[in-house]
Amino acid sequence: MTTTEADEREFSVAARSQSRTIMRRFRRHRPAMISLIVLTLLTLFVFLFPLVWKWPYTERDKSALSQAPSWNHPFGTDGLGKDGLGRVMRGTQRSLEIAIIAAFLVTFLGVIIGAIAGYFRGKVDSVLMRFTDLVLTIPLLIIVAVVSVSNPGAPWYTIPIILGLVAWTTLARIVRAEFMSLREKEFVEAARAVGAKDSRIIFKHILPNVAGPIFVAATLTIAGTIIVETALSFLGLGVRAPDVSLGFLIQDGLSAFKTRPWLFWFPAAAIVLVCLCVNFVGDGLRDAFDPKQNRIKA
Amino acid sequence: MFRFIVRRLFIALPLLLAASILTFVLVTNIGTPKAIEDAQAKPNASKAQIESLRRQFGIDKPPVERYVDWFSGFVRGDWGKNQNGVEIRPLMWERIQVTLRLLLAATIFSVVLGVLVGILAAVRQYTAFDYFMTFFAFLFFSIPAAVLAGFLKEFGAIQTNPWMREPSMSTWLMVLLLVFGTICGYMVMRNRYKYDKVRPTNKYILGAMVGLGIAAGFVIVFKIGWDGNTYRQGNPKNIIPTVGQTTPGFEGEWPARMQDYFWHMLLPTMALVLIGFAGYSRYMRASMLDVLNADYIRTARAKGIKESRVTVRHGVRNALIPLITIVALDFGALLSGAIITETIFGWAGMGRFFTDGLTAKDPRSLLAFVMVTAVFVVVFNLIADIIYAQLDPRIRL
Repeated sequence: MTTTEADEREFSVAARSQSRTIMRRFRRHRPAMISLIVLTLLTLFVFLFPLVWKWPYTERDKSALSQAPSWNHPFGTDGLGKDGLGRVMRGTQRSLEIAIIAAFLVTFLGVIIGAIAGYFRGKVDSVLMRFTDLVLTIPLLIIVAVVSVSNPGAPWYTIPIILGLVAWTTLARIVRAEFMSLREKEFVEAARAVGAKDSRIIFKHILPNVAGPIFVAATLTIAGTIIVETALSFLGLGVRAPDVSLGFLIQDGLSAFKTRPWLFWFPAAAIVLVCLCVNFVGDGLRDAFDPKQNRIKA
Repeated sequence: MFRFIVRRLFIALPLLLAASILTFVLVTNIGTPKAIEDAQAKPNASKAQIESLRRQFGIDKPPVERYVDWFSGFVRGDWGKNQNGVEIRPLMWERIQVTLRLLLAATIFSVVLGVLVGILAAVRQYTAFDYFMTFFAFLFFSIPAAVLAGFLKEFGAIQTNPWMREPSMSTWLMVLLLVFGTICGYMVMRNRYKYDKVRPTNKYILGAMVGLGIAAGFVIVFKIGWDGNTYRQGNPKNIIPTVGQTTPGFEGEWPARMQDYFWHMLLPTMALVLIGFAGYSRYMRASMLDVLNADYIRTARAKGIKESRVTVRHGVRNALIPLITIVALDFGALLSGAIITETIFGWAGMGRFFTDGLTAKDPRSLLAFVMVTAVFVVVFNLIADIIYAQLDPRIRL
């Protein structure tokens, strides 16, 4: 038997690191864990299954126009004979991609702007915050819709980029508030006393302490973006045919609700499922990062 | 107080000026209006025609000059004409009234509902009620407005209208309703005296009777009131309309007109309320939980104040303060929801104004729309700030 340091003492205490504690709390959050599993399986399914599925989302089955769900077309077909399942899978892919790009951009911009404003205070802060106020005066959907009309024929990834460039305001405000309170703490003063540079204090000392709110906001942005994208597609300004997104499919399905209700139900269910799971994961993260939380309940 | 408002106004005015520049930059890049594109596509389009069209849409000058023209016009109240040659300001005013009716109703109901549910969920944290409401809040949070409104239109109107036309209640359903009412009344009373040593049987009977009475009243009102309803008889259309904000050309006395408004507003409002209430109830629950853990609540309890008084006087009052900012900040999201909902229910409100302007790519309509929205957002935030400062004495004026 090898002797380790722990064995030499009479008892061994393994200190649980902060990240392990958070992981543990998250794992005990039942809805969040279930949602995370569902979300992972769903993502794998919509990205991998189209590779083997017999109907690509663009192909028309001319022998089956406007068909109700059947074995051949589990989600039915639309008026042109395009397969519902293929289109829903493709739409979910697109919506997820849009959401993730937007969420990354929002997180990046929000953290940078919020951190600079909150850390440096003074003039920089007031300039950045007035700018934030300015972006907030025009509702998100309206800015994105107007910009979208200005660039007809733009590729799909312009949508998440525009969304990201506009939607960072909330996160920036959250990060700023956290930075403003943390910069007065002793550990920051200590870091400054040993001569750490501003960038080091911001990224190495303060930012890890703000990780919780940032993760939560980033997660919720994913759900929010999917919903805004739906609204945009509903106005006919989202991704353009032949490409599809979930919002596009819903707009399509709503236009012929009476005769082909399945074209509405399946994409609607997909959107609600994705957003619900993402929101529950966000809730689980919030509880896991909450330092006041000592009682874990499902 | 007065100085505080003045100071806030001094911040708001430059903000609005900057917003007007942002609006202008956004809208100027929108491209050629649809009408000009159409004219250019015609083979016999003359240069002079297109020039006159450009002048009509006000895009014949360099941008800076155009901005000055537009902004000075906007401030003076001369907002120009839209793509169809209609004066924008009266049109906009008409549309704002329609949309504000919807937004106001939706805000009031969703805030009241959200606050009530939030309080109950916080007071009864980790009970079945809390979980149930949490799930519902997340569910409605995850449904896009287009999906919810489309769903309500189909199942709240198109499929229920045949029943509403010839409403009938079978004897079975009536008996069921009466039994349900009785049981509800009994359960409420039983819950109230659950932990008492002596169970007051007469109170149970009283509760059951009250429940029975309410159910019977409902059935009687349904039988008499609905059958003799003048609105339904004088109106050959469906009861729950799916298109428009009023019945076109509907004339009637005020109770009938109110009903007309009510039925038209019912489903669009419901869509916005369900989405809004989900968010508010979560915020209210979180804020209430924060407050209930505060020291002054413990002090209040220690003084021996009744729990109901602690919750309402000390808890709810303080928990409501942060909600005010959230409601005001939510205006943009609510308006976006209203644009979608109005489109689905065919309302001629701000949503229609915006989508029409977008389709026609008419710069003047869009400028007016975006600017008016920005003014609304700024004004609501200002009001929220003032109320916040009034309610929270820790904020200096």
